[in-house]
Amino acid sequence: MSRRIRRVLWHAACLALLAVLLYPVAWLVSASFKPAGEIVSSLRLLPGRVVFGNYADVFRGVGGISVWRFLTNSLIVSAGAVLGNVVSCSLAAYAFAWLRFRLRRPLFAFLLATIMLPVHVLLIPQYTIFQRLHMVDTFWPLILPKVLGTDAFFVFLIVQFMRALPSELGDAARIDGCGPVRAFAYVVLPLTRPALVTTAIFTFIWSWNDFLSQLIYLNSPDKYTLPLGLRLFMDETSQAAYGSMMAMSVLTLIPIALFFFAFQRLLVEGVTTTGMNG
Amino acid sequence: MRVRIIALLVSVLAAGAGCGSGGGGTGAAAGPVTIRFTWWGNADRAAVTEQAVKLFEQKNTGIKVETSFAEFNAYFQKLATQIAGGAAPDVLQMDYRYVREYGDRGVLADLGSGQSKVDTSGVTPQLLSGGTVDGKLLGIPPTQNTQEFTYDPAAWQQAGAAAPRDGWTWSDLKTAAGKVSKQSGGKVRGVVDFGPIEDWYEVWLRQQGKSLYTADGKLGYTAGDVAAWWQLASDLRTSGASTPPEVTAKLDGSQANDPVAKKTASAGFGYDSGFTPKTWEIYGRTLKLAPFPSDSGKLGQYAKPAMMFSVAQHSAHKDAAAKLINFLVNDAQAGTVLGMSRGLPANQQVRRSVGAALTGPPQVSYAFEQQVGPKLDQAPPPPPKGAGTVKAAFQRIYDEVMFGRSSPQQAAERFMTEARQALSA
Amino acid sequence: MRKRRYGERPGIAYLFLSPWAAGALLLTVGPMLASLYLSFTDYDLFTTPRWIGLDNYRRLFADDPRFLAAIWVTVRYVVLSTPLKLAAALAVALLLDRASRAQGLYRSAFYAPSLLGASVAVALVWRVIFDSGGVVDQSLSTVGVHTGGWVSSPRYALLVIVALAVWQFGAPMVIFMAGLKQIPRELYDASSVDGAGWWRTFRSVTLPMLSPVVFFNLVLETIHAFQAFTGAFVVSSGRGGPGDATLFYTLYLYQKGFTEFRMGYASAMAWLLLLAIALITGLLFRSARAWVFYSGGDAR
Repeated sequence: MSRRIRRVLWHAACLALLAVLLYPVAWLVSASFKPAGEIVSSLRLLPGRVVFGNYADVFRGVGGISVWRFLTNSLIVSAGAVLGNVVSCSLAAYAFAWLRFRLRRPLFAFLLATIMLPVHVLLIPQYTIFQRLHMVDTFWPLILPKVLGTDAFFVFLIVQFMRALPSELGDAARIDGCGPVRAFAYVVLPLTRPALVTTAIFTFIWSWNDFLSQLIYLNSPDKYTLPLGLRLFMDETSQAAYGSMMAMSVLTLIPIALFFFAFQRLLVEGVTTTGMNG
Repeated sequence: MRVRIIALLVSVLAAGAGCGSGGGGTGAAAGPVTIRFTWWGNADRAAVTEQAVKLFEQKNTGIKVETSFAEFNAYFQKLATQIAGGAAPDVLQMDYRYVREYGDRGVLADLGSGQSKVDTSGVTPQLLSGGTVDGKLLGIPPTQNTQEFTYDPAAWQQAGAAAPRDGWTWSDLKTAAGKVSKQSGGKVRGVVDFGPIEDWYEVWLRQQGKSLYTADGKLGYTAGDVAAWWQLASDLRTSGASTPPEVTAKLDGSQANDPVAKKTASAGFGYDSGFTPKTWEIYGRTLKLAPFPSDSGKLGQYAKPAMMFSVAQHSAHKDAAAKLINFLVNDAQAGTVLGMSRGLPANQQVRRSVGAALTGPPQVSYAFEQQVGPKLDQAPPPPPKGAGTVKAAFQRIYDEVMFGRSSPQQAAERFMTEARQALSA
Repeated sequence: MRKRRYGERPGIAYLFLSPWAAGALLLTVGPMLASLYLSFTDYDLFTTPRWIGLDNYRRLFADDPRFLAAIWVTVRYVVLSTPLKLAAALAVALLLDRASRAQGLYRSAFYAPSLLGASVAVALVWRVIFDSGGVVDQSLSTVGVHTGGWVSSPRYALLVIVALAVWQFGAPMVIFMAGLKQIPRELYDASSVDGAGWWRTFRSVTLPMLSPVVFFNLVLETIHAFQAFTGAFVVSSGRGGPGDATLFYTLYLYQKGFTEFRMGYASAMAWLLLLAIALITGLLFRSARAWVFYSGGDAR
């Protein structure tokens, strides 16, 4: 009985909190069904008049390019980034967390330093490098940095999770005669799954939303991604199309929401303690 | 390893410094050439521009054009990065407020002579001075616009406010705006506070025979002028005729923060470009355009290049680049395709044919432009380096007047110090 | 102390590090050194940089009041937003750490605000919430507090951006949840056998076991907060207004570099920021020895 009450209370707490937190999101979705004039002049949640024209406008394409093209490009960039990041960051993290080598401390300090410099001053030198590599106007400048694990955030994240693993694991692996490579593949990696899934989820979503590097490196309209398409509705020197912008924002959200919903399941099954008992 | 790092660093710096390869070769290449053309704008502008470019390629089979576009702020960040990285596009859309910044640094080619010469005989004569820096034509405006006063005629009539007419004065504005505010009980203010916007201040200055910048790029006014302007704005604000501080503080040129669109004000100053068939729908009512009020009988408004086309000095195909600009500005067919997407065409002939076909809000702005056209001044030369900072400071420091943290006089003194510093830096 | 590291063949370690090291050498080291060099020059993006020594640094402190204002805005933002965001993230992560079929749905829903990132739509949405007559203003008015619009008020504008940051607590929340999943169930079972209540279990099991993750979130959120840009850029349309109330450090840096074409000056600002963040991160790492618990038992 009391368990049941507690469950009801739990649901009530979650829902109440969500109602507050999701109000802006609800407004956004609702605004995508409002006529343009109403979006600007009214603060109300529900549309006074429901229109679907905003979506029709978006599906007609932006500057002659169809929304599906933007979507495909975004998917390529995000999927490439996820693959690259998960592989390279887990490799580097394993070295920092589990292996011993002389430059470990200074290199780790350097790793952290690389995220301390604001991107804006690195933009031009990095652009120059990709320009020399003839990679401008391809997806490589968006994917290659991930393949090469330059995202210190994720290296650090996985390091922290690997270090939290019980030390008995290392001893057990060693006694069983595992070398560092096999210990990585069969012991550490499977147990760090929550961190790897987290890395995959964040990389996907952040690449999806990353406006600045996509803006700088992609020139041809048929290589544009969703965030670039979305911004075209907001040019400050011409008539802004608020309705289409809202509709496109919602369309941009749907794939990542689905991605998150599908992948967060993988977070659910936690670490079983086989390592400790074995 | 050290050698590699240094080698890399050197290559990065060399390119960062604009010493990259790809300097202006002679464009007499045989066979098809490819030029890159970038602009800023919204989705509608992108659609028609792509169409016009295709038409150009059909007519000039030897030239292939790669296009790219983004919205205004993103566009300029990208353009700066590209140029610094040694990858400037051949043809680029340039803004009035940036043309000198880029031109003085040798980034833009002269369109008045040499390989990149473009025919400007059809363009409004008052306009070209706006793209001329130190005697060199660095940008050709495809379109023009001018300052205007937009108001809601129904609200004004209901409040018994006299409609703006030729020769009306700033005190007429104050009286009328006050009536509108009163009629709505303060919910809808008569006019958007004009104090923070340097553009409107400029018109007021010109009405007194002064200008924003002198010929040698110094400030063309004194602290007293700024204080007087802010005092004028403050009189309207404190009397309730204009928008309150928390509304005015949000002005950023976007419709989302435009009090007229949000129906918290019934009138405001603006530019007559950017009116589309959907404008009245967004404003939720039909508006009218009028010239600026003036106390001197001098209108002070001028033909302003809304934007221009430029050719990069680094371009290897300047002749092809100039051909494209020539086509976009002067070709009748291109004009029909582009329509009003960049504002009123600057080429007189194109303008008449486009204007004849207009309806709705674009027609209203066309008619307004025809009405005030003969009274418009010559466009002042592009503002000096640092002018963008001055404009931003003008708005920021007026914020303090508005919120009562500073008197107009004090604030004006402080503004002048900052402005001089920005111009000398 | 137990050893668990593979110290015998250090070459293996470098092999694992090689993709990252290649990336760092190719894409990171050069640009970082380039910006360091530029910080000692007068560089306008388009013409050759001119060496001016420490002039940029001197001018920052000697004649740039807006620089000091930007530091003050940023420090206030870091101090306000980081703890609030982490507390919200941890609280919701704990709330959701419960066997239920609805868990996945709730988790996704709580993450939804973070999906928006810095989308341009956010600016419009936040106007609706914090404008005069918006939700916050109306709610406060019903309890008799009249604040007017927040976005355009010099007093409250910073709070709007803090609220935006805290609202998007999804990332640390997910990391906390992943951390909670990694805590062996046995420890909870043992704790409940001991008859410990919720709070004691939290203090003696959850928090110590979670401390590496708490540490991670604290370090990264602090770094991110110092570099906060997009929130302010989107909400204030890149101006940092009203009257510099939301002039974040990186926003000012951006204005200097890309709208005033003073990239040397901006680079100097960037390196000062790096030094400040490095100092604070160093302090956090030092403090970590006292409160971060690694199961390995190895003080690293």
